[in-house]
Amino acid sequence: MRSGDEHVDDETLTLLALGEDITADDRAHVAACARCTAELDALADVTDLARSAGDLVAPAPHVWDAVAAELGLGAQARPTTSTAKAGTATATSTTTSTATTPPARRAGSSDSPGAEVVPLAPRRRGRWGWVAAGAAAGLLVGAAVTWGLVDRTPATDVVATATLDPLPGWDAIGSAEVEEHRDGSRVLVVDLDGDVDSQGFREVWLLRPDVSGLVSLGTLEGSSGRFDLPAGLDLHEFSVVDVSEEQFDGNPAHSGDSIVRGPLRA
Amino acid sequence: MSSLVAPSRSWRSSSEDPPVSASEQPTVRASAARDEDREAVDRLGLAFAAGDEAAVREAYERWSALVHTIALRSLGTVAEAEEVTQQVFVDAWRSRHRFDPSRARLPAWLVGITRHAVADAHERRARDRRLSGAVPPVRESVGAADDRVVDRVLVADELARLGDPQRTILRLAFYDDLTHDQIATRLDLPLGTVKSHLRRSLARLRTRWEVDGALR
Repeated sequence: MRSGDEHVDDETLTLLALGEDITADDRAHVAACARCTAELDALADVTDLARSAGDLVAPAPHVWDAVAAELGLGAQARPTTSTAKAGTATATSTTTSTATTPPARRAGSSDSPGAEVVPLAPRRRGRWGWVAAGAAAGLLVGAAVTWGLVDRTPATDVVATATLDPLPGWDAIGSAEVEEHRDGSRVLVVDLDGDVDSQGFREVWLLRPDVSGLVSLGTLEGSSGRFDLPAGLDLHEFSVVDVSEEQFDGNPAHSGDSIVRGPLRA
Repeated sequence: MSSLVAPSRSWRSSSEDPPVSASEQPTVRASAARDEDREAVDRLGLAFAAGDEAAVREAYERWSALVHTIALRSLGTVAEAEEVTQQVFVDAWRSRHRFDPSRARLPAWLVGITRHAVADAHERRARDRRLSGAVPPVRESVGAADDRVVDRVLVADELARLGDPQRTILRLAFYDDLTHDQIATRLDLPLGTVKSHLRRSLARLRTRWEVDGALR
């Protein structure tokens, strides 16, 4: 894995900082290397902070009223209520589903000290509501809910997300998001992370879940790309994001060699 | 617009990556979600500095829990924490001409104001106590805006901003003490995916802490 004078890689340092065991070889290098020791110290410090971090506590609503009154802010500067905000929560800070959602969600709910965020309806005109459960007296707001409600980007809503998992033979992961803009236009943002051999090129597709049909969205240059979605395209029907490795063979069909894939979820 | 934000500190690790083999090391780069988040913070900083009233509300919605939690942990009473929270946002808005979005992120600036407000509250408390000769109702184990308090709250804030499965993975590693192996089994994810998420998420927490906790 590691040879000669190379530093221990960041993943191994991360595992070490989290308290996992690593190979004797790697341990010996870290002990002897100032750079790796400094990195490890910083990562261990963040780990300590996180382990003792606790949840954020939102101030009571009357605090904003006092701020607005003292500053003489107009009505347009008042924050919307929680119920009004619930419909426009962005997905980036809430829940990104994986292909294996049930175990992930189970695990998340069992250990999460804060409130849990649960999607209500599958999708309603490109948006969805969230319900917060378990917030103690409305004061101890779990951090997830706090940010789910307040983190709003004005012009864009993320209406669906996907975690892209590698297909056999590939060592890459990725994520995808569907942004919906105020004018109704939608953009698929694809983000690939990992070692992807690029002898050919990559192409982004939306597939039917049973792979009985597919729509090409274009080529992915580098590891990130934005793809305009045709207005009539039904994301319920073509709900699976797929990134394939294509060859310059003149054949426009899907090569059958998918790098990552994952279902979009609201 | 992104050039306006704390430029070099954020992603310094990319230039210092160890030369490991290509198959072992995913590229170090910001995810699209994080980029959007940074751009949103930049836009909000510019609007705030420009005096857009909607930006106060937006800043309050985003960071009042951060400010309030720092104050609460430092001072120990809800009443004082609320007072500090109010003061921070009022002061921030009134002195917005001193905020330079090309030099600092808005949350870092707010955290800096919070440190001062908390220190003032501690002084006020000590003065009141001297005047009245009363015994303090709360045992003061916390110093004035203890740096660790601020650091912890910043990390908690960033942890809350992670999407899933990253947040779940990190929580299992932090609070359940599971190894990456056990997490991969529990979540039915590839081992490499879990390792990669752990590395990137921890790096993200570190960056946030270093960037927004920097103003003292």
